[in-house]
Amino acid sequence: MKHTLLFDHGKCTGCRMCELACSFEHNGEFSPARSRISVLSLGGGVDMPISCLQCEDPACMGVCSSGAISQKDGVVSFDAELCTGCRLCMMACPVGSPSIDPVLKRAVNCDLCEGEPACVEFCPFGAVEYVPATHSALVNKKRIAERLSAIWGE
Amino acid sequence: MDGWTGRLLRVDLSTGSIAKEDVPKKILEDYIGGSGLGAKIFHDEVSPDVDPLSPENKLLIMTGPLTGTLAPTGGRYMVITKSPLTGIWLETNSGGQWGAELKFAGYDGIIIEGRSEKPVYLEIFDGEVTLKGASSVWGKTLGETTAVLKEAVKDDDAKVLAIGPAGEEGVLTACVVNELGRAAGRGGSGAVMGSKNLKAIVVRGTGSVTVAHPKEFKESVVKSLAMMRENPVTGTALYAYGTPVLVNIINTNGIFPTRNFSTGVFEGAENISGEQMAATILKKKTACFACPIACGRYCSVKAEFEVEGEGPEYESIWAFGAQCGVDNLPAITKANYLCNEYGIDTISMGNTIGCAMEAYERGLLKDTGGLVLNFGNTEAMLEAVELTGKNEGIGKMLALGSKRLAESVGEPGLSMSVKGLELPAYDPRGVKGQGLGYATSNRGGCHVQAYMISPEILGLPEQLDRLAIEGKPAFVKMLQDFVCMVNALGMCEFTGFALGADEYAALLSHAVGREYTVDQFMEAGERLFNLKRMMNVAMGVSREDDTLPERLLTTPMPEGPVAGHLPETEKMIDEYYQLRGWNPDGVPADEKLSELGLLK
Repeated sequence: MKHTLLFDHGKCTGCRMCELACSFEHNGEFSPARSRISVLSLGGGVDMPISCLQCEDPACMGVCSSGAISQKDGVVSFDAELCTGCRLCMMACPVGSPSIDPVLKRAVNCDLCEGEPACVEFCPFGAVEYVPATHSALVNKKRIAERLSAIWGE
Repeated sequence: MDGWTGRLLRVDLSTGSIAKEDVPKKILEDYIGGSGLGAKIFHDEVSPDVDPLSPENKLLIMTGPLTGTLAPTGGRYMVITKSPLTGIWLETNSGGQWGAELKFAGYDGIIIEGRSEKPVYLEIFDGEVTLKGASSVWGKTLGETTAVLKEAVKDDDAKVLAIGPAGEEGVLTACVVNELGRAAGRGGSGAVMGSKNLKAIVVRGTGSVTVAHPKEFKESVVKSLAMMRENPVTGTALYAYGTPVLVNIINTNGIFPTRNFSTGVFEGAENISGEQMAATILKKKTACFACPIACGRYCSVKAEFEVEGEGPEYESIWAFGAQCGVDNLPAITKANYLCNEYGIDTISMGNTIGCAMEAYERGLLKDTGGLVLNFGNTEAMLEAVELTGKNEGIGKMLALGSKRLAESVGEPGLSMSVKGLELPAYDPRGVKGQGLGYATSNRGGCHVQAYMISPEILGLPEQLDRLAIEGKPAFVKMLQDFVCMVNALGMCEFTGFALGADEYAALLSHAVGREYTVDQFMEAGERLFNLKRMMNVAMGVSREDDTLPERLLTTPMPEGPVAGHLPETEKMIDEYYQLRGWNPDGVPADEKLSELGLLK
């Protein structure tokens, strides 16, 4: 069954352990610049983890001119051998997920760690979850409903 | 190199020269990093009689071998210098993101020396390091400075460390602040930075930190994280209520210093508690880099004291709360915010205002420029913070700290400080080990060099009888050596509630690829503590300085659960010196120095 990452900025504290875990898993070193997940600290106490949402019809794949991006088992997959580092995927992605690895100089993206995402394992606050793709929409609906009921409750 | 980058930046502000230096591996292995490596460099390079605000004093900003790794809370940096407030050794550290960013830029630390002719700031973008004119931000608060410099560097991920107007003005309790709300708070490092005409250090790092044994390191991290999750303090309490969770605990135990330490019970504690904060002004829980605890509190206050930002944490709540007789949490939040904007240590600021309030009420302090400095006057308290930040009016006197203030009004005993550093938020009359910790901390009146509150109040790692003195010198010594190592590694001391020397030694060993047994780990800590003491002895510290304010030593606690008690510090000093291998004057003996490899 297709799975995706699910982010909750309400739980994110901005500790960035997801970034460290990601770069350690993929590159064997600690480097937020090489991480495929990023925590955006937007000021005003808002921290937002963001990474690939595993689109059904990925815009990155559509614009890639070198055939480096494909979909396998519902996971958007990047091939560093084929990538030319043109950055079109970064422009096309609605959440800006792909990035150029500062060492490889090629586009990299979340690969869900073969079903055991390191970012999920190391997030101490449950702000990054690994859930069935159908489930993520329900969870978000429930969250929004909770927030609305809290507002109406006042 | 693994763990360490093995490289330091040396910036001479007098000449404008910037050099990159490699550190010998043996020095790193013996002195570890952070305030340990900082102590070694400071000891070797700076004369003990240096004037703290002269170009000859140096300001070291150091990370540790675990800074920038997944080791829990591995994101801290330490500032090392000779304190202008106390005239002795100073180390003061901060979390947030800045320390890790410096590591990712490729440096274990920065040695800042000399004095720039004009205000400058340092910009570090990986290998590119430049000094730039700071005229556009000189005189500006932390908020304005941070915004302008981030805009200038054109990289939203750049992290800004800076001083505020207080540091520029030479306020002796001025601090260094990073990312607006995180401070290397104590001892006046901001004034040293200001005396060098250095406004800020902007850093952006896109490199990496490696560890020697990735698999074993990860296992140690996973184990440590599990221990922290299961621990009631690191896993539950600090996340739920932040450090302000302590307000009710410490007050209930009768050791919440109130109105300049005249009692240990504050009638308004409930109004300024962590529980009250969570129910009223808390907007978001925040964490420093790589921290699974998230004790940070992002608060928002509407109406009268409108303010939004990081904090206040426990010590600041106490300093502007019980110490000043104030039970208004929004007003305290505002005072904390002003300190962050002007760049002032909240503990020393609130403690000093409390001292001034007592002097004012006793008629000793008359010329306040119209400020009615009675205990409980929130408006006067906030005005006092502003004036200190600007170094104007009565603020000029408050800017010198409580010791000089009390001396100037002819009543030195009013200063609640040790070695000139204002005491924090625990009355030692009801926690006697903590009292010894205050008396013997290398930087003066400070709780974190031996946080005896942990065993004496919180029961971690074991419950000690807080009113007993038996066994306390050994415990204080052990904690001091241990904390020297935590501050050398680049981790937060809060991990110590859950982790023991085993866990830290394993993390360090697997990071740097050299095995440290627990004994070697603790011996390294003892080496660092003694090195700092050696510097202090050379700077004039002796037995008579290892004490507490006269008021606390001689006036029994007037009320509450520890009524009638005294700290009994003087009864513990001899045993403490013996355990340390120091002579009766508090000077490390040659045998001990030789054993630790500190004898030349």
